[in-house]
Amino acid sequence: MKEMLKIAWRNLWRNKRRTIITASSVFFAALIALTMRSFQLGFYNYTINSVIEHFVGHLQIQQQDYHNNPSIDNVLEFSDSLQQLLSKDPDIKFFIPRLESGAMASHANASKVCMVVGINPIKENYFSGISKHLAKYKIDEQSIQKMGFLPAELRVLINKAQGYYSSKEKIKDVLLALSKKFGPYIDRIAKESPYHGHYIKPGENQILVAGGLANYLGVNVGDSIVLLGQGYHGSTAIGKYRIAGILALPSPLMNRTFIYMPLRCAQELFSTYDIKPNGDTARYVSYIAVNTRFQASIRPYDYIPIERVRQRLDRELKGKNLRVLGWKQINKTLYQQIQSDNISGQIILMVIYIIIAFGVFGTVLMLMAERRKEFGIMLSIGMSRGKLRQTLVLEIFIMTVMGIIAAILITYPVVTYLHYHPIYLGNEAAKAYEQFNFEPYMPTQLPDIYFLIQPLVILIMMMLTSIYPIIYISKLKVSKALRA
Amino acid sequence: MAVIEIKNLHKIYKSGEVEVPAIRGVDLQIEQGEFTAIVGPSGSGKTTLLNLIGGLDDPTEGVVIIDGTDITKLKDNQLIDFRLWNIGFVFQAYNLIPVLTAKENIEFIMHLQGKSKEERESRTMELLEKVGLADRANSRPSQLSGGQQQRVAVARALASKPKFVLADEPTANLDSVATSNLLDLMERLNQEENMTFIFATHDQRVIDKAHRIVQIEDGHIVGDQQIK
Ligand SMILES: Nc1ncnc2c1ncn2[C@@H]1O[C@H](COP(=O)(O)OP(=O)(O)OP(=O)(O)O)[C@@H](O)[C@H]1O
Ligand SMILES: [Mg+2]
Repeated sequence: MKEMLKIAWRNLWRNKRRTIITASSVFFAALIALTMRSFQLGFYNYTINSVIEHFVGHLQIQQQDYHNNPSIDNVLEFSDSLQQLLSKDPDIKFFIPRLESGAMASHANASKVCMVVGINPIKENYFSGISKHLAKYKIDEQSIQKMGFLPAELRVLINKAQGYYSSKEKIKDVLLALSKKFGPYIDRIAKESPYHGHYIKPGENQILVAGGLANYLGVNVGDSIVLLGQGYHGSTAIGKYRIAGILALPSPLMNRTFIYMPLRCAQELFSTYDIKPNGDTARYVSYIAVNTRFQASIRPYDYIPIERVRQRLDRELKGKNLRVLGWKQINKTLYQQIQSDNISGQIILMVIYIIIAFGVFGTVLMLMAERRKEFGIMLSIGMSRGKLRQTLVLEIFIMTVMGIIAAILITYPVVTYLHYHPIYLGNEAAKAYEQFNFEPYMPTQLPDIYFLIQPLVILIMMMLTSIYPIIYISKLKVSKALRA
Repeated sequence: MAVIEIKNLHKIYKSGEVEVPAIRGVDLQIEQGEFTAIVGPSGSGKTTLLNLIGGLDDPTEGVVIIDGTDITKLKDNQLIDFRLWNIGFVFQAYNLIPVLTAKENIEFIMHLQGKSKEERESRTMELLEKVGLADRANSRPSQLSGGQQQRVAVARALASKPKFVLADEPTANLDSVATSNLLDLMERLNQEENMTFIFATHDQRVIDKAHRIVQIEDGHIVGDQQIK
């Protein structure tokens, strides 16, 4: 084997240029594959992390009909016994109730349809981190007025960036996406645009209003909004609430419609409670979002333990007219989008691999044709066909592995860096993110198993080209080869 | 007993509908220690006969018995192994593995035979001395002259300690000095080591050196003279 390796290695350098070109084509295929995969998987996991881990939950407990008909009547009781059951479950890390319903929000002469979400302020903030979206800056006509230090060109451009911001970093990302020239002015722009507000507390009658909605209604922190809608079992829901803070939500849809209030407050507004025969009050919620102790990701095997918990909970709650759904059922579109994107990404990679494999095959064809006579001599003097095949397969193997290793060495640090310093997508490119409520960053996936699988697939594809020399050598007639 | 015994050997090449009879009923015996030239005009069947003796091609009819083994009955992989242990080859040109040095080319055969490192190295050095190329041990074939390459090829042919060496036009690409060097070398090895040599040639200089001349024409043996 060592002798074959020596011959294979030296054979590679007989035609240096060709070997380098071939190895480079494998290198580029591996480079594209690893980079593309890293961005894809990074995007999926970022999406799932933002949407599932921190908003939807791995599982949701709902009333039987809620999923198909999410009306205020299809609610479930968030009872002490249910809370105890969930608290005691070793597989459940976290659970949180929400009450959601549509309503009409009005202030002065303006009114607009909105989505009211009743939450447990403390737990919800821990789970979905709402308070980090609290507006701390507001760029508007007045604040722009005060930005005399901006060149005329930028003073026009900054109008496009009007709105609420939760941090100076956000202002920076948005402005720099508009023009790099904003760079030196970020600090002063932020200083001229402060905004104040605070997060809601349990028991308070105050609300958080999404920035887009606040703009439309022309309201600010301290103003009041009147909410009007339909409550539980046909009752009328009406109430007046003071605005504690404005939220700059990344999702435009949510930013146009969302109002958060303490759960108890929402239960009063929509009358989702009953007095039980024993005098206790039953309080209702739309669903309970549950996170298991497992990790949600796009990988099929990561869903298995979550699904196991779902089935067990579902059985335990069966008699109570309740149903437990997994995140793939709740967010079917998200799951299917990721799934189809994932598959089409893999098809593209396959096509690249096949093209490169043909390139390698071309090299193999040339090399075989050149050495026909040499093969004849080697077989004459007593080298077995097996050993001859071995050297050829080794040549292809070494060329491929050189390309792959070079690609890994280059991609590994780049991808790792881009994971910790993700690229911010400009306003235009951010469209894909808008339907989900998260920031348009493009983090990569840290190198893990895919850094093994993709190179392995490439290696296998390229090694398929060695079928030709294997068959060729088996069929080669020594006397004919010598004549060549 | 003869080293090589050929009986009623026929070889017909078929290319499509056309049949080319290259060897037509050859009987021949080669004894241990011979220095024999197979001569004849171009197309007479010299290469074909040598290929059949060396088990590089299979006959249409007849047998080739080497030291008691009918090699026409061997399977392909058995034949390759048989060649490795029993037959040395020297071809017209491009004999050597281009990526191996002179020394490595000679050693390679013994590698295939699974010989120990010590045995390989001592035999290689001995052979390089014999062919007068000890100082070029680490040169690649491309760095050697045609005559030097052929001498390395002879050394390699001997490396496996074969029963005989087959050489198909070994001097065809050499000038007269290199030719006489190579012939002297082979004759010396024939005498000193009692190594059997069989060459196919139409080179008069080679014919002049031969101890036995087998003449072939149109696939028939038409003459067989013992000279020395
Ligand atoms: N593979 C083949 N297919 C068909 N015919 C062949 C093949 N090999 C050899 N022949 C024919 O067989 C005959 C003998 O050829 P061979 O090569 O043995 O002659 P030779 O004596 O070695 O000639 P030269 O001195 O030119 O090398 C020729 O007529 C040749 O055309
Ligand atoms: Mg010939």
